[in-house]
Amino acid sequence: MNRRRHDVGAILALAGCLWVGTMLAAAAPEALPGSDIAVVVNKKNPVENLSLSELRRIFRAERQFWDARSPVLLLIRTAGSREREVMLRVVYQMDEASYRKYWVGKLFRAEATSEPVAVDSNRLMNEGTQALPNVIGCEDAGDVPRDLKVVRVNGYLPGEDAYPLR
Amino acid sequence: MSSDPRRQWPALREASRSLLGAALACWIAVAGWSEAAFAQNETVQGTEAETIRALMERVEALEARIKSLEAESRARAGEVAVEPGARPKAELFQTAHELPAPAAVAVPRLQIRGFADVTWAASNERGTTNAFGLGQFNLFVTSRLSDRFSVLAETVVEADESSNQFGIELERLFLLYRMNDRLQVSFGRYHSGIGFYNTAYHHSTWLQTALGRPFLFAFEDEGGILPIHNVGVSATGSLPSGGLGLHYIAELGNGRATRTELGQSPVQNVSDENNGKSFNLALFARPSAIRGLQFGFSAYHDNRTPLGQPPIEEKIFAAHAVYQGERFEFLNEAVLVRHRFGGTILNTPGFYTQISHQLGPWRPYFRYQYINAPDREPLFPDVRRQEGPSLGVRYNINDWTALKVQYDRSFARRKAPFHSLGLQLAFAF
Repeated sequence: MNRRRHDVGAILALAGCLWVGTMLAAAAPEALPGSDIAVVVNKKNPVENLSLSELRRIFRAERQFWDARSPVLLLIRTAGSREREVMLRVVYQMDEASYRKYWVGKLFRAEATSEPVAVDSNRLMNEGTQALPNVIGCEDAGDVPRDLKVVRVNGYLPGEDAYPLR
Repeated sequence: MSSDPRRQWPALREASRSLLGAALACWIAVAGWSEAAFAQNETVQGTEAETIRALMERVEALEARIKSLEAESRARAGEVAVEPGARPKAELFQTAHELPAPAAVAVPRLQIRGFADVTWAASNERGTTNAFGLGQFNLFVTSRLSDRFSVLAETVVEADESSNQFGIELERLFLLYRMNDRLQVSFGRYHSGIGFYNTAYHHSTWLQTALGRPFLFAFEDEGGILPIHNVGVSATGSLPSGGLGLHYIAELGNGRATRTELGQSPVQNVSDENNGKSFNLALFARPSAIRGLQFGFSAYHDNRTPLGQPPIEEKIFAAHAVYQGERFEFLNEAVLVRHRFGGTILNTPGFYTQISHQLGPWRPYFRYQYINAPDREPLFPDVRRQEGPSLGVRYNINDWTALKVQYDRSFARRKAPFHSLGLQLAFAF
Protein backbone atom coordinates (compact mmCIF):
# COMPACT_ATOMS: atom_id res chain seq x y z
CA MET A 1 0.00 0.00 0.00
CA ASN A 2 2.86 2.40 0.92
CA ARG A 3 4.53 1.57 -2.36
CA ARG A 4 1.37 2.36 -4.25
CA ARG A 5 1.05 5.69 -2.45
CA HIS A 6 4.62 6.55 -3.42
CA ASP A 7 3.97 5.57 -7.02
CA VAL A 8 0.76 7.56 -7.29
CA GLY A 9 2.43 10.51 -5.59
CA ALA A 10 5.30 10.35 -8.04
CA ILE A 11 2.93 10.19 -10.95
CA LEU A 12 1.06 13.24 -9.70
CA ALA A 13 4.38 15.05 -9.32
CA LEU A 14 5.24 14.12 -12.90
CA ALA A 15 1.86 15.42 -14.02
CA GLY A 16 2.47 18.71 -12.26
CA CYS A 17 5.86 19.14 -13.89
CA LEU A 18 4.47 18.43 -17.33
CA TRP A 19 1.76 21.05 -16.88
CA VAL A 20 4.34 23.67 -15.84
CA GLY A 21 6.84 22.70 -18.52
CA THR A 22 4.42 22.84 -21.47
CA MET A 23 2.66 26.15 -20.65
CA LEU A 24 2.48 27.72 -24.09
CA ALA A 25 -0.28 30.20 -24.51
CA ALA A 26 -1.68 29.94 -28.04
CA ALA A 27 -2.73 33.44 -29.01
CA ALA A 28 -6.21 33.71 -30.49
CA PRO A 29 -6.05 34.72 -34.16
CA GLU A 30 -6.50 38.42 -34.67
CA ALA A 31 -9.55 39.48 -36.65
CA LEU A 32 -8.76 40.69 -40.17
CA PRO A 33 -10.22 44.06 -41.15
CA GLY A 34 -13.04 44.04 -43.69
CA SER A 35 -16.80 44.30 -44.18
CA ASP A 36 -19.44 42.13 -42.60
CA ILE A 37 -20.01 38.57 -43.74
CA ALA A 38 -23.53 37.91 -44.94
CA VAL A 39 -25.31 34.60 -44.55
CA VAL A 40 -27.11 33.89 -47.81
CA VAL A 41 -29.77 31.45 -48.90
CA ASN A 42 -31.81 30.86 -52.00
CA LYS A 43 -34.86 33.12 -52.35
CA LYS A 44 -37.10 30.05 -52.17
CA ASN A 45 -35.83 29.30 -48.68
CA PRO A 46 -38.39 30.66 -46.16
CA VAL A 47 -35.74 31.30 -43.48
CA GLU A 48 -35.54 34.99 -42.59
CA ASN A 49 -33.68 35.10 -39.31
CA LEU A 50 -31.38 32.75 -37.43
CA SER A 51 -29.94 33.17 -33.99
CA LEU A 52 -26.18 32.83 -33.80
CA SER A 53 -26.72 29.67 -31.80
CA GLU A 54 -28.91 28.20 -34.52
CA LEU A 55 -26.47 29.29 -37.19
CA ARG A 56 -23.76 27.40 -35.34
CA ARG A 57 -25.94 24.32 -35.17
CA ILE A 58 -26.51 24.45 -38.90
CA PHE A 59 -22.90 24.98 -39.91
CA ARG A 60 -21.70 22.38 -37.45
CA ALA A 61 -24.19 19.89 -38.94
CA GLU A 62 -25.98 19.52 -35.63
CA ARG A 63 -29.08 20.50 -37.53
CA GLN A 64 -29.03 18.97 -40.99
CA PHE A 65 -32.54 19.57 -42.27
CA TRP A 66 -34.43 22.76 -43.01
CA ASP A 67 -37.72 20.94 -42.50
CA ALA A 68 -38.94 17.36 -42.62
CA ARG A 69 -37.99 17.01 -46.30
CA SER A 70 -35.09 19.26 -47.15
CA PRO A 71 -31.50 18.57 -46.12
CA VAL A 72 -29.19 21.52 -45.58
CA LEU A 73 -26.32 21.94 -48.02
CA LEU A 74 -23.44 23.97 -46.59
CA LEU A 75 -21.17 26.18 -48.64
CA ILE A 76 -18.13 27.86 -47.17
CA ARG A 77 -15.20 29.73 -48.63
CA THR A 78 -11.83 28.11 -48.95
CA ALA A 79 -9.01 28.59 -46.48
CA GLY A 80 -7.27 31.96 -46.64
CA SER A 81 -10.40 34.00 -47.33
CA ARG A 82 -11.79 36.57 -44.95
CA GLU A 83 -15.20 34.86 -45.07
CA ARG A 84 -13.64 31.65 -43.85
CA GLU A 85 -11.69 33.44 -41.15
CA VAL A 86 -14.83 35.09 -39.78
CA MET A 87 -16.83 31.87 -39.95
CA LEU A 88 -14.15 29.92 -38.12
CA ARG A 89 -13.73 32.60 -35.48
CA VAL A 90 -17.37 33.50 -34.85
CA VAL A 91 -19.49 30.55 -35.91
CA TYR A 92 -17.27 27.52 -35.53
CA GLN A 93 -15.02 28.99 -32.80
CA MET A 94 -12.16 26.88 -34.10
CA ASP A 95 -8.89 27.32 -35.90
CA GLU A 96 -8.30 25.76 -39.31
CA ALA A 97 -6.73 22.57 -37.99
CA SER A 98 -9.51 22.01 -35.48
CA TYR A 99 -12.08 22.66 -38.20
CA ARG A 100 -10.62 19.95 -40.41
CA LYS A 101 -10.37 17.53 -37.52
CA TYR A 102 -13.94 18.37 -36.51
CA TRP A 103 -15.26 17.25 -39.89
CA VAL A 104 -13.11 14.15 -39.99
CA GLY A 105 -14.59 13.21 -36.63
CA LYS A 106 -18.12 14.01 -37.78
CA LEU A 107 -17.80 11.76 -40.82
CA PHE A 108 -16.05 9.09 -38.77
CA ARG A 109 -18.92 8.97 -36.31
CA ALA A 110 -21.47 9.01 -39.17
CA GLU A 111 -22.93 12.20 -37.71
CA ALA A 112 -22.63 13.84 -41.13
CA THR A 113 -22.33 12.46 -44.64
CA SER A 114 -20.17 15.24 -46.03
CA GLU A 115 -18.35 18.32 -44.91
CA PRO A 116 -19.24 21.79 -46.19
CA VAL A 117 -18.40 22.35 -49.83
CA ALA A 118 -15.56 24.86 -50.02
CA VAL A 119 -15.73 27.33 -52.91
CA ASP A 120 -12.85 29.61 -53.76
CA SER A 121 -14.81 32.67 -54.88
CA ASN A 122 -17.99 34.54 -54.04
CA ARG A 123 -19.03 34.13 -57.66
CA LEU A 124 -19.15 30.37 -57.10
CA MET A 125 -20.88 30.92 -53.78
CA ASN A 126 -23.59 32.94 -55.56
CA GLU A 127 -23.98 30.47 -58.38
CA GLY A 128 -24.27 27.54 -55.98
CA THR A 129 -26.80 29.30 -53.79
CA GLN A 130 -28.85 30.41 -56.78
CA ALA A 131 -28.88 26.94 -58.32
CA LEU A 132 -29.68 24.84 -55.26
CA PRO A 133 -32.53 25.89 -52.96
CA ASN A 134 -31.17 24.03 -49.91
CA VAL A 135 -27.86 25.85 -49.80
CA ILE A 136 -26.76 28.17 -47.03
CA GLY A 137 -23.54 30.04 -47.59
CA CYS A 138 -21.54 32.98 -46.40
CA GLU A 139 -19.83 35.79 -48.27
CA ASP A 140 -18.79 39.40 -48.11
CA ALA A 141 -21.96 41.44 -47.76
CA GLY A 142 -20.88 43.64 -50.65
CA ASP A 143 -20.85 40.69 -53.06
CA VAL A 144 -24.39 39.46 -52.48
CA PRO A 145 -26.49 39.77 -55.66
CA ARG A 146 -30.10 40.90 -55.55
CA ASP A 147 -31.50 37.47 -56.33
CA LEU A 148 -30.17 35.95 -53.10
CA LYS A 149 -31.68 36.38 -49.69
CA VAL A 150 -29.57 37.67 -46.81
CA VAL A 151 -30.53 36.02 -43.55
CA ARG A 152 -30.68 38.09 -40.39
CA VAL A 153 -28.46 36.85 -37.60
CA ASN A 154 -29.79 37.54 -34.11
CA GLY A 155 -32.27 39.82 -35.88
CA TYR A 156 -29.59 42.01 -37.45
CA LEU A 157 -28.47 42.56 -41.01
CA PRO A 158 -24.89 43.15 -42.15
CA GLY A 159 -23.87 46.71 -41.47
CA GLU A 160 -25.95 47.07 -38.32
CA ASP A 161 -24.00 47.65 -35.13
CA ALA A 162 -24.91 44.42 -33.37
CA TYR A 163 -24.41 42.18 -36.38
CA PRO A 164 -22.05 39.43 -35.15
CA LEU A 165 -20.29 38.15 -38.28
CA ARG A 166 -17.45 40.60 -38.67
CA MET B 1 10.30 6.55 11.46
CA SER B 2 12.77 4.07 13.06
CA SER B 3 16.11 5.41 14.32
CA ASP B 4 17.93 2.47 12.74
CA PRO B 5 19.33 3.86 9.49
CA ARG B 6 19.16 0.43 7.84
CA ARG B 7 15.37 0.41 8.19
CA GLN B 8 15.14 3.86 6.64
CA TRP B 9 16.86 2.82 3.41
CA PRO B 10 13.81 1.36 1.59
CA ALA B 11 11.70 4.44 2.26
CA LEU B 12 14.54 6.75 1.26
CA ARG B 13 15.07 4.73 -1.89
CA GLU B 14 11.42 5.06 -2.80
CA ALA B 15 11.40 8.78 -2.12
CA SER B 16 14.57 9.41 -4.09
CA ARG B 17 13.15 7.39 -7.03
CA SER B 18 10.08 9.58 -6.99
CA LEU B 19 12.12 12.77 -6.92
CA LEU B 20 14.36 11.56 -9.73
CA GLY B 21 11.35 10.77 -11.85
CA ALA B 22 9.85 14.20 -11.21
CA ALA B 23 13.10 15.95 -12.07
CA LEU B 24 13.44 13.97 -15.29
CA ALA B 25 9.91 14.94 -16.31
CA CYS B 26 10.63 18.62 -15.65
CA TRP B 27 13.77 18.51 -17.79
CA ILE B 28 11.93 16.80 -20.66
CA ALA B 29 9.10 19.30 -20.49
CA VAL B 30 11.38 22.36 -20.51
CA ALA B 31 13.47 20.94 -23.35
CA GLY B 32 10.35 20.27 -25.34
CA TRP B 33 9.03 23.79 -24.70
CA SER B 34 12.06 25.36 -26.39
CA GLU B 35 11.53 23.17 -29.48
CA ALA B 36 7.88 24.02 -29.89
CA ALA B 37 8.26 27.49 -31.49
CA PHE B 38 10.84 26.24 -34.02
CA ALA B 39 8.68 23.27 -34.97
CA GLN B 40 5.69 25.55 -35.47
CA ASN B 41 7.64 27.72 -37.99
CA GLU B 42 8.64 24.70 -40.04
CA THR B 43 5.08 23.45 -39.99
CA VAL B 44 3.73 26.77 -41.39
CA GLN B 45 6.08 26.76 -44.42
CA GLY B 46 5.31 23.16 -45.31
CA THR B 47 1.62 23.78 -44.95
CA GLU B 48 1.60 26.68 -47.45
CA ALA B 49 2.72 24.50 -50.37
CA GLU B 50 0.16 21.89 -49.45
CA THR B 51 -2.53 24.55 -49.27
CA ILE B 52 -1.73 25.87 -52.74
CA ARG B 53 -1.81 22.39 -54.22
CA ALA B 54 -5.07 21.60 -52.47
CA LEU B 55 -6.59 24.87 -53.72
CA MET B 56 -5.67 24.09 -57.34
CA GLU B 57 -7.25 20.68 -57.05
CA ARG B 58 -10.31 22.27 -55.54
CA VAL B 59 -10.62 24.75 -58.44
CA GLU B 60 -10.63 21.91 -60.94
CA ALA B 61 -13.25 19.98 -59.01
CA LEU B 62 -15.45 23.04 -58.62
CA GLU B 63 -15.27 23.91 -62.31
CA ALA B 64 -16.58 20.44 -63.05
CA ARG B 65 -19.28 20.94 -60.44
CA ILE B 66 -20.37 24.26 -61.97
CA LYS B 67 -20.78 22.65 -65.35
CA SER B 68 -22.98 20.03 -63.75
CA LEU B 69 -25.03 22.69 -61.95
CA GLU B 70 -25.46 24.70 -65.14
CA ALA B 71 -26.71 21.60 -66.90
CA GLU B 72 -29.21 20.93 -64.12
CA SER B 73 -30.35 24.54 -64.20
CA ARG B 74 -30.91 24.43 -67.94
CA ALA B 75 -32.84 21.19 -67.59
CA ARG B 76 -35.01 22.68 -64.85
CA ALA B 77 -35.66 25.81 -66.90
CA GLY B 78 -36.82 23.60 -69.73
CA GLU B 79 -39.18 21.73 -67.37
CA VAL B 80 -40.77 24.89 -65.98
CA ALA B 81 -41.17 26.58 -69.36
CA VAL B 82 -44.92 27.19 -69.55
CA GLU B 83 -47.15 29.31 -71.67
CA PRO B 84 -47.42 32.93 -70.58
CA GLY B 85 -50.22 33.36 -68.06
CA ALA B 86 -50.51 29.64 -67.31
CA ARG B 87 -50.15 28.48 -63.74
CA PRO B 88 -46.98 26.46 -63.05
CA LYS B 89 -47.48 22.77 -62.45
CA ALA B 90 -47.86 22.02 -58.76
CA GLU B 91 -45.33 19.20 -58.72
CA LEU B 92 -42.47 21.32 -60.03
CA PHE B 93 -42.08 23.39 -56.91
CA GLN B 94 -43.85 23.89 -53.63
CA THR B 95 -45.40 26.99 -52.17
CA ALA B 96 -43.26 29.83 -50.91
CA HIS B 97 -43.33 28.30 -47.42
CA GLU B 98 -41.72 25.03 -48.42
CA LEU B 99 -38.53 24.17 -50.17
CA PRO B 100 -38.47 22.12 -53.36
CA ALA B 101 -37.18 18.60 -52.90
CA PRO B 102 -33.46 18.44 -53.68
CA ALA B 103 -32.25 16.96 -56.93
CA ALA B 104 -31.03 13.37 -56.69
CA VAL B 105 -27.28 12.74 -56.82
CA ALA B 106 -26.41 11.25 -60.20
CA VAL B 107 -23.70 8.80 -59.07
CA PRO B 108 -22.42 7.73 -55.66
CA ARG B 109 -19.57 9.94 -54.42
CA LEU B 110 -17.05 7.74 -52.69
CA GLN B 111 -14.43 9.11 -50.33
CA ILE B 112 -11.60 7.12 -48.85
CA ARG B 113 -9.64 8.17 -45.83
CA GLY B 114 -7.00 6.22 -43.98
CA PHE B 115 -5.77 6.03 -40.43
CA ALA B 116 -2.84 4.12 -39.03
CA ASP B 117 -0.22 4.18 -36.32
CA VAL B 118 3.19 2.81 -35.46
CA THR B 119 4.11 2.18 -31.86
CA TRP B 120 6.95 1.20 -29.62
CA ALA B 121 6.06 -0.28 -26.24
CA ALA B 122 8.05 -1.54 -23.31
CA SER B 123 7.04 -2.91 -19.95
CA ASN B 124 8.63 -4.59 -16.97
CA GLU B 125 5.70 -7.00 -16.72
CA ARG B 126 7.02 -10.53 -16.42
CA GLY B 127 7.13 -12.33 -19.75
CA THR B 128 6.92 -9.26 -22.01
CA THR B 129 9.48 -7.76 -24.33
CA ASN B 130 9.80 -4.32 -25.82
CA ALA B 131 8.72 -4.13 -29.44
CA PHE B 132 7.88 -1.89 -32.33
CA GLY B 133 4.41 -2.58 -33.65
CA LEU B 134 2.10 -1.73 -36.49
CA GLY B 135 -1.22 -0.55 -35.21
CA GLN B 136 -4.51 -0.88 -37.01
CA PHE B 137 -4.45 0.14 -40.67
CA ASN B 138 -7.90 1.60 -41.11
CA LEU B 139 -9.46 2.20 -44.51
CA PHE B 140 -12.44 4.42 -43.87
CA VAL B 141 -14.81 4.66 -46.81
CA THR B 142 -17.95 6.74 -47.15
CA SER B 143 -20.17 7.17 -50.14
CA ARG B 144 -23.20 9.37 -50.64
CA LEU B 145 -25.76 7.53 -52.70
CA SER B 146 -28.33 10.32 -52.51
CA ASP B 147 -29.24 13.18 -50.21
CA ARG B 148 -30.67 10.66 -47.76
CA PHE B 149 -28.76 7.42 -48.30
CA SER B 150 -25.08 6.88 -47.69
CA VAL B 151 -22.74 4.02 -46.97
CA LEU B 152 -19.99 3.78 -44.38
CA ALA B 153 -17.38 1.04 -44.32
CA GLU B 154 -14.41 0.68 -42.03
CA THR B 155 -11.95 -2.08 -42.91
CA VAL B 156 -9.07 -2.73 -40.58
CA VAL B 157 -5.91 -4.68 -41.23
CA GLU B 158 -3.91 -5.52 -38.15
CA ALA B 159 -1.37 -8.03 -36.96
CA ASP B 160 -2.16 -10.53 -34.23
CA GLU B 161 -0.06 -9.92 -31.13
CA SER B 162 0.81 -13.56 -30.59
CA SER B 163 1.32 -14.80 -34.14
CA ASN B 164 2.44 -11.56 -35.86
CA GLN B 165 0.19 -12.54 -38.77
CA PHE B 166 -2.04 -9.97 -40.45
CA GLY B 167 -5.80 -10.32 -40.43
CA ILE B 168 -8.52 -8.25 -42.05
CA GLU B 169 -11.82 -7.41 -40.46
CA LEU B 170 -14.79 -5.38 -41.60
CA GLU B 171 -15.24 -3.42 -38.40
CA ARG B 172 -18.15 -1.32 -39.59
CA LEU B 173 -20.36 -1.59 -42.65
CA PHE B 174 -23.78 -0.06 -42.83
CA LEU B 175 -26.25 1.63 -45.07
CA LEU B 176 -27.34 4.88 -43.49
CA TYR B 177 -30.75 6.37 -44.13
CA ARG B 178 -31.18 9.93 -42.94
CA MET B 179 -34.87 10.76 -42.83
CA ASN B 180 -34.56 14.05 -40.92
CA ASP B 181 -32.98 15.38 -37.75
CA ARG B 182 -35.27 13.18 -35.68
CA LEU B 183 -34.48 9.86 -37.30
CA GLN B 184 -31.41 8.32 -38.85
CA VAL B 185 -31.23 4.55 -39.26
CA SER B 186 -28.20 2.36 -39.91
CA PHE B 187 -28.46 -1.19 -41.21
CA GLY B 188 -25.42 -3.40 -40.82
CA ARG B 189 -22.48 -3.66 -38.46
CA TYR B 190 -21.96 -0.68 -36.20
CA HIS B 191 -20.34 0.37 -32.94
CA SER B 192 -22.92 -0.12 -30.19
CA GLY B 193 -24.12 3.00 -28.45
CA ILE B 194 -22.98 1.91 -25.00
CA GLY B 195 -21.52 4.88 -23.20
CA PHE B 196 -19.61 7.64 -24.92
CA TYR B 197 -16.16 6.40 -25.94
CA ASN B 198 -17.38 3.65 -28.25
CA THR B 199 -19.30 5.94 -30.59
CA ALA B 200 -16.96 8.91 -30.24
CA TYR B 201 -13.81 6.98 -31.15
CA HIS B 202 -13.67 4.01 -33.47
CA HIS B 203 -10.62 2.47 -35.06
CA SER B 204 -8.33 5.44 -35.30
CA THR B 205 -5.73 6.34 -32.71
CA TRP B 206 -5.15 9.68 -34.46
CA LEU B 207 -8.57 10.90 -33.36
CA GLN B 208 -7.97 9.85 -29.75
CA THR B 209 -6.02 11.91 -27.27
CA ALA B 210 -4.38 9.00 -25.48
CA LEU B 211 -2.27 6.24 -26.93
CA GLY B 212 -5.00 3.61 -26.60
CA ARG B 213 -8.56 3.04 -25.55
CA PRO B 214 -9.52 2.65 -21.89
CA PHE B 215 -9.43 -1.06 -21.15
CA LEU B 216 -13.11 -0.83 -20.28
CA PHE B 217 -13.68 -0.12 -24.00
CA ALA B 218 -11.08 -2.50 -25.37
CA PHE B 219 -12.12 -4.35 -28.50
CA GLU B 220 -13.60 -7.80 -28.06
CA ASP B 221 -10.65 -9.61 -29.61
CA GLU B 222 -8.31 -7.74 -27.25
CA GLY B 223 -10.03 -8.95 -24.13
CA GLY B 224 -12.67 -6.24 -23.88
CA ILE B 225 -15.73 -7.03 -21.82
CA LEU B 226 -18.24 -4.85 -23.65
CA PRO B 227 -20.07 -5.63 -26.91
CA ILE B 228 -18.20 -2.97 -28.89
CA HIS B 229 -19.61 -4.12 -32.24
CA ASN B 230 -23.04 -5.36 -33.15
CA VAL B 231 -24.83 -6.39 -36.32
CA GLY B 232 -28.41 -5.26 -36.75
CA VAL B 233 -30.25 -1.96 -36.84
CA SER B 234 -29.36 1.24 -35.06
CA ALA B 235 -31.56 4.32 -34.94
CA THR B 236 -30.64 7.72 -33.60
CA GLY B 237 -31.89 11.27 -33.73
CA SER B 238 -32.66 14.39 -31.79
CA LEU B 239 -35.65 14.83 -29.51
CA PRO B 240 -37.65 18.05 -29.09
CA SER B 241 -35.98 19.46 -25.99
CA GLY B 242 -35.05 23.04 -26.72
CA GLY B 243 -31.63 24.05 -25.47
CA LEU B 244 -31.09 20.73 -23.70
CA GLY B 245 -30.21 19.06 -27.01
CA LEU B 246 -31.57 15.63 -26.15
CA HIS B 247 -30.73 12.71 -28.44
CA TYR B 248 -31.65 9.04 -28.40
CA ILE B 249 -30.12 5.79 -29.64
CA ALA B 250 -32.14 2.60 -30.08
CA GLU B 251 -30.45 -0.56 -31.31
CA LEU B 252 -31.43 -4.12 -32.07
CA GLY B 253 -28.82 -6.69 -33.00
CA ASN B 254 -27.43 -10.20 -32.81
CA GLY B 255 -25.45 -9.43 -29.69
CA ARG B 256 -22.24 -11.36 -29.26
CA ALA B 257 -21.33 -14.99 -28.98
CA THR B 258 -20.09 -16.38 -25.70
CA ARG B 259 -16.65 -14.96 -25.18
CA THR B 260 -14.11 -16.81 -27.27
CA GLU B 261 -10.35 -17.09 -27.02
CA LEU B 262 -8.34 -13.91 -27.12
CA GLY B 263 -7.71 -12.94 -30.73
CA GLN B 264 -11.06 -14.28 -31.90
CA SER B 265 -13.93 -11.92 -32.28
CA PRO B 266 -17.26 -12.87 -30.70
CA VAL B 267 -19.18 -10.53 -33.00
CA GLN B 268 -21.97 -12.50 -34.66
CA ASN B 269 -21.67 -11.27 -38.22
CA VAL B 270 -23.86 -13.78 -40.06
CA SER B 271 -25.43 -16.15 -37.54
CA ASP B 272 -26.72 -15.90 -34.00
CA GLU B 273 -26.11 -18.61 -31.39
CA ASN B 274 -29.66 -18.07 -30.06
CA ASN B 275 -32.95 -16.62 -31.20
CA GLY B 276 -32.81 -13.76 -28.75
CA LYS B 277 -31.64 -10.35 -29.86
CA SER B 278 -29.74 -7.74 -27.96
CA PHE B 279 -31.19 -4.30 -27.57
CA ASN B 280 -29.70 -1.06 -26.36
CA LEU B 281 -31.34 2.23 -25.45
CA ALA B 282 -29.45 5.41 -24.77
CA LEU B 283 -30.29 9.01 -24.05
CA PHE B 284 -27.78 11.81 -24.06
CA ALA B 285 -27.91 15.58 -23.90
CA ARG B 286 -25.77 18.22 -25.58
CA PRO B 287 -26.93 21.47 -24.00
CA SER B 288 -26.41 24.43 -26.31
CA ALA B 289 -25.59 26.69 -23.35
CA ILE B 290 -22.32 24.82 -22.75
CA ARG B 291 -20.92 23.77 -26.10
CA GLY B 292 -18.84 20.64 -25.81
CA LEU B 293 -20.70 19.24 -22.82
CA GLN B 294 -22.45 15.90 -23.19
CA PHE B 295 -23.96 13.64 -20.58
CA GLY B 296 -26.16 10.59 -20.80
CA PHE B 297 -26.79 7.00 -19.95
CA SER B 298 -27.52 3.73 -21.72
CA ALA B 299 -29.00 0.33 -20.91
CA TYR B 300 -28.17 -2.82 -22.87
CA HIS B 301 -29.70 -6.27 -22.61
CA ASP B 302 -28.78 -9.62 -24.13
CA ASN B 303 -29.09 -13.33 -23.38
CA ARG B 304 -25.90 -15.32 -23.62
CA THR B 305 -25.94 -19.08 -24.06
CA PRO B 306 -22.49 -20.54 -23.33
CA LEU B 307 -22.05 -24.20 -24.15
CA GLY B 308 -22.42 -26.51 -21.18
CA GLN B 309 -23.48 -23.70 -18.86
CA PRO B 310 -26.84 -22.23 -17.89
CA PRO B 311 -27.95 -19.25 -19.98
CA ILE B 312 -26.77 -15.87 -18.75
CA GLU B 313 -28.84 -12.74 -18.79
CA GLU B 314 -26.55 -9.80 -19.48
CA LYS B 315 -27.35 -6.19 -18.66
CA ILE B 316 -24.95 -3.33 -19.16
CA PHE B 317 -25.59 0.10 -17.72
CA ALA B 318 -23.40 3.04 -18.63
CA ALA B 319 -23.32 6.70 -17.71
CA HIS B 320 -21.09 9.45 -18.95
CA ALA B 321 -20.39 13.12 -18.45
CA VAL B 322 -17.84 14.58 -20.79
CA TYR B 323 -16.66 17.99 -21.81
CA GLN B 324 -14.69 18.45 -25.02
CA GLY B 325 -13.82 22.03 -25.67
CA GLU B 326 -11.45 23.50 -28.19
CA ARG B 327 -8.55 23.10 -25.77
CA PHE B 328 -9.78 21.41 -22.62
CA GLU B 329 -11.14 17.90 -22.39
CA PHE B 330 -12.59 16.07 -19.40
CA LEU B 331 -14.06 12.61 -19.95
CA ASN B 332 -15.80 10.51 -17.32
CA GLU B 333 -17.59 7.24 -17.81
CA ALA B 334 -18.83 4.47 -15.55
CA VAL B 335 -20.13 1.07 -16.62
CA LEU B 336 -21.77 -1.78 -14.75
CA VAL B 337 -21.94 -5.21 -16.38
CA ARG B 338 -24.44 -7.46 -14.63
CA HIS B 339 -24.65 -11.19 -15.29
CA ARG B 340 -27.49 -13.21 -13.92
CA PHE B 341 -27.56 -16.99 -14.13
CA GLY B 342 -29.57 -19.31 -11.95
CA GLY B 343 -29.93 -17.52 -8.67
CA THR B 344 -26.58 -15.77 -8.96
CA ILE B 345 -25.97 -12.15 -9.88
CA LEU B 346 -22.43 -10.99 -10.54
CA ASN B 347 -21.56 -7.33 -11.09
CA THR B 348 -18.50 -5.98 -12.86
CA PRO B 349 -18.09 -2.25 -12.33
CA GLY B 350 -15.64 -0.12 -14.22
CA PHE B 351 -14.85 3.51 -14.88
CA TYR B 352 -12.29 5.84 -16.33
CA THR B 353 -11.60 9.52 -16.08
CA GLN B 354 -9.43 11.46 -18.49
CA ILE B 355 -8.33 15.06 -18.52
CA SER B 356 -6.23 16.94 -21.05
CA HIS B 357 -5.44 20.46 -22.16
CA GLN B 358 -4.18 21.72 -25.50
CA LEU B 359 -1.20 24.07 -25.25
CA GLY B 360 -0.08 25.01 -28.72
CA PRO B 361 0.77 21.74 -30.46
CA TRP B 362 1.10 19.94 -27.12
CA ARG B 363 -1.66 18.17 -25.28
CA PRO B 364 -0.67 16.65 -21.96
CA TYR B 365 -3.17 14.24 -20.53
CA PHE B 366 -3.90 12.08 -17.54
CA ARG B 367 -6.19 9.06 -17.29
CA TYR B 368 -7.17 6.83 -14.43
CA GLN B 369 -9.10 3.64 -15.10
CA TYR B 370 -10.55 0.82 -13.06
CA ILE B 371 -12.38 -2.42 -13.69
CA ASN B 372 -13.22 -5.12 -11.18
CA ALA B 373 -14.62 -8.45 -12.40
CA PRO B 374 -15.38 -11.11 -9.80
CA ASP B 375 -13.20 -14.20 -9.85
CA ARG B 376 -16.35 -16.28 -10.42
CA GLU B 377 -17.36 -14.24 -13.49
CA PRO B 378 -18.31 -16.94 -16.00
CA LEU B 379 -17.69 -15.06 -19.26
CA PHE B 380 -14.43 -13.20 -18.56
CA PRO B 381 -12.81 -14.79 -15.52
CA ASP B 382 -9.34 -13.58 -16.54
CA VAL B 383 -10.18 -9.86 -16.25
CA ARG B 384 -10.37 -9.64 -12.43
CA ARG B 385 -9.37 -6.26 -11.02
CA GLN B 386 -7.27 -3.95 -13.13
CA GLU B 387 -6.57 -0.31 -12.47
CA GLY B 388 -3.97 2.33 -12.77
CA PRO B 389 -3.00 5.79 -13.92
CA SER B 390 -1.69 6.82 -17.32
CA LEU B 391 0.24 9.97 -17.95
CA GLY B 392 1.17 11.19 -21.38
CA VAL B 393 1.55 13.96 -23.85
CA ARG B 394 0.42 14.26 -27.44
CA TYR B 395 2.40 16.46 -29.81
CA ASN B 396 0.78 17.44 -33.14
CA ILE B 397 3.65 17.36 -35.62
CA ASN B 398 1.28 18.71 -38.24
CA ASP B 399 -2.47 18.69 -38.80
CA TRP B 400 -2.50 14.98 -39.62
CA THR B 401 0.33 13.44 -37.62
CA ALA B 402 0.66 13.12 -33.89
CA LEU B 403 3.37 11.77 -31.63
CA LYS B 404 2.26 10.42 -28.28
CA VAL B 405 4.34 9.38 -25.30
CA GLN B 406 2.55 7.63 -22.49
CA TYR B 407 3.55 6.10 -19.19
CA ASP B 408 1.26 3.58 -17.46
CA ARG B 409 1.35 2.17 -14.00
CA SER B 410 -0.77 -0.96 -13.80
CA PHE B 411 -2.13 -2.82 -10.80
CA ALA B 412 -4.04 -6.07 -11.04
CA ARG B 413 -5.33 -8.66 -8.64
CA ARG B 414 -2.88 -11.53 -8.18
CA LYS B 415 -0.30 -9.85 -10.37
CA ALA B 416 2.69 -7.76 -9.49
CA PRO B 417 2.35 -4.09 -10.45
CA PHE B 418 4.30 -3.08 -13.50
CA HIS B 419 5.38 -0.02 -15.46
CA SER B 420 4.82 0.54 -19.17
CA LEU B 421 6.09 3.12 -21.59
CA GLY B 422 4.68 3.63 -25.05
CA LEU B 423 5.48 5.83 -28.03
CA GLN B 424 3.08 6.17 -30.92
CA LEU B 425 3.05 7.93 -34.24
CA ALA B 426 -0.62 8.22 -35.22
CA PHE B 427 -1.60 9.66 -38.59
CA ALA B 428 -4.48 10.21 -40.94
CA PHE B 429 -4.19 10.29 -44.73
